[in-house]
Amino acid sequence: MTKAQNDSQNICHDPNGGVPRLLEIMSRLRDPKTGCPWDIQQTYKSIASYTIEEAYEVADAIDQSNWEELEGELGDLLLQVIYYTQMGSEDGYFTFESVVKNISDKIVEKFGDKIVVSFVKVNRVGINVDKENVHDVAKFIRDELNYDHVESVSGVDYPQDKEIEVVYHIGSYSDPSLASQLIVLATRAEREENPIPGKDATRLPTLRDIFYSVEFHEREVFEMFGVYFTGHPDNRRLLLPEDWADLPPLRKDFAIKGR
Amino acid sequence: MTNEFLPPGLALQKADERIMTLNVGPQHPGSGHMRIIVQIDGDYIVACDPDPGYVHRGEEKMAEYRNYITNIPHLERPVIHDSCNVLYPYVLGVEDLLGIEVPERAKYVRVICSELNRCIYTMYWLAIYGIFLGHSTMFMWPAGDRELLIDLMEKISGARVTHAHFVPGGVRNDLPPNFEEVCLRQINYFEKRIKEYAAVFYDNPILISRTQDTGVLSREDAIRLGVTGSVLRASGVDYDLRKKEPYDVYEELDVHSNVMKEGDSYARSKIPWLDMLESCNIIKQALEKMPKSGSVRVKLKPNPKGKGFNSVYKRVESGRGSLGCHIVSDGKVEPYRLKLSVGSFRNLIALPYLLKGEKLGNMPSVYWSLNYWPVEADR
Repeated sequence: MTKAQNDSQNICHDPNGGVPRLLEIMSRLRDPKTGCPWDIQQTYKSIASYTIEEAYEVADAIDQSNWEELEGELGDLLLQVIYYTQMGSEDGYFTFESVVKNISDKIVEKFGDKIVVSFVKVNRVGINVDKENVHDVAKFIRDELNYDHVESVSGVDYPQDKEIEVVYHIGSYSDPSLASQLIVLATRAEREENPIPGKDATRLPTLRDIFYSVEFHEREVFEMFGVYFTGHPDNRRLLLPEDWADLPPLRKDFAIKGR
Repeated sequence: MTNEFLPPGLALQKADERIMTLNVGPQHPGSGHMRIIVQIDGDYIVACDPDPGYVHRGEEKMAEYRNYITNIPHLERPVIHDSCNVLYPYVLGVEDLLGIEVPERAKYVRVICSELNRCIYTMYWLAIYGIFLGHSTMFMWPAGDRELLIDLMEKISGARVTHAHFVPGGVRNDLPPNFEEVCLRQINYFEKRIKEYAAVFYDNPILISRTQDTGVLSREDAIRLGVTGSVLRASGVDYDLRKKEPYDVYEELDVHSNVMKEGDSYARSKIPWLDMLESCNIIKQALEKMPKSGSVRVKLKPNPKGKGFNSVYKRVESGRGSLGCHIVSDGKVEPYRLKLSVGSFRNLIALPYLLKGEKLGNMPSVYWSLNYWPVEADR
């Protein structure tokens, strides 16, 4: 037995195999030589009626608040998705991975050349956007793509570019299919050489009205980089002392003594 | 002097005769190393402003001046009881940047260390929760029982806390001889022991009356505030990174995430305890499935991607929820920028929200149920 065959054998018998296991089982059922005769005959149209039926059963279970049954029904519905995915990849229309890649495509479709997709990695999609559009893009991400909270906001200082980058890592709790996905939204502000505390000219629009969870994160970026978030209701210091009068400490030109 | 000329944070406020401002902290214990500025009307809290930062040590700035290996000992300082978990995303991130594949045995050793550390941290947290509520038995028992696991970590790494055991490419040393047997024995005893806590603490009517229905966080608000870890799962959101985005060998292990729907202080204090029982279960599985021999560390090679900017964001489920590490590298031996996104800092946002309208006497139980570690939040 080759290694590839061995791997596929293992994943089919692994009860925790998750979606890869389902995809593997489905591709075996659809194998023209060794698959199941009934499964091979099916087409998009012949499956469509089953999908409607399963969707009704899901809605029915929700109506009756029958959570045990809902679990089973959702599994049946997922199998339909896997079925279409398998048929689609046989015909070369799409694969399961490309369904996930859709996230970046949707944003590109909406905003065109206002944004740049900086990378698409496993579970991470990087989006670069100007500060004029960051508010709209974030609103779209929340309303249309079901992302609901910000995990991390990090500032990165680029004195060589005379810019400060602020990176938002946006995730989703409410949509289980996006649980492992993060959108990495980056935007840049002009870097002011001599920041005056409380009168910062390095400014970005706040995302606090879209994602409530950025409140303390943006306060931290404000004190550590001197980026003033316009529209943030509470632009105060958080970790530093109130009377800190030096440069914002995470800027590159704030040097540690003796280093 | 009007507010206009004052730096932010020093703005003056008009005094109100009815409302009293009370500074809780920053002395330790009582609030941890932080100050909570509460405004009270009689016995009720009308506003709360958490003021962390008293133990801010600039871990992120320090990381920019040290190379990737010498960063290891100081990066675990934010939570010395949970040091393996704090280091975990950093190590995963560096491995991702270098494109290193870690040996199978090292992955299992990491999972065992990480779960042991989760229990060590949670026991300490539970001890403080006990003393916050004036339950001194619950201080003595966890503080004593965690020694069992600290002994195990000492056998593995040589240090009781701050193990510095994870390194990019694996773990520093292999397990000592005969470890599996000793570990299984200790874990079995530990599991039996923490089950006894139910009778004295979690089923105790006094604890229940003090924590049930106080500081209720609904599911919608938990999502909106972006809280994480036990606070999130106590509000009915099933989100555990060990299941949702499995790292190392978690996908080969049967992990059950504990979820409760109540969202009150009682649920928030019970979830970490249930997690400890689950950790025991995971350690037993890992001991069974772990390859019995083999390498535990691969040698690092020079950065194959060369110079130029590159970034990575890795996250793990720590004792206090999701812990992320964002590393920006410019190809040199030091990180260009390193950001730790920690569970404590993310959960802090819920504090003003939960305390509003609560009685002052409930403040300690609500505050510590957030699974908050001040030193970690300050970094």
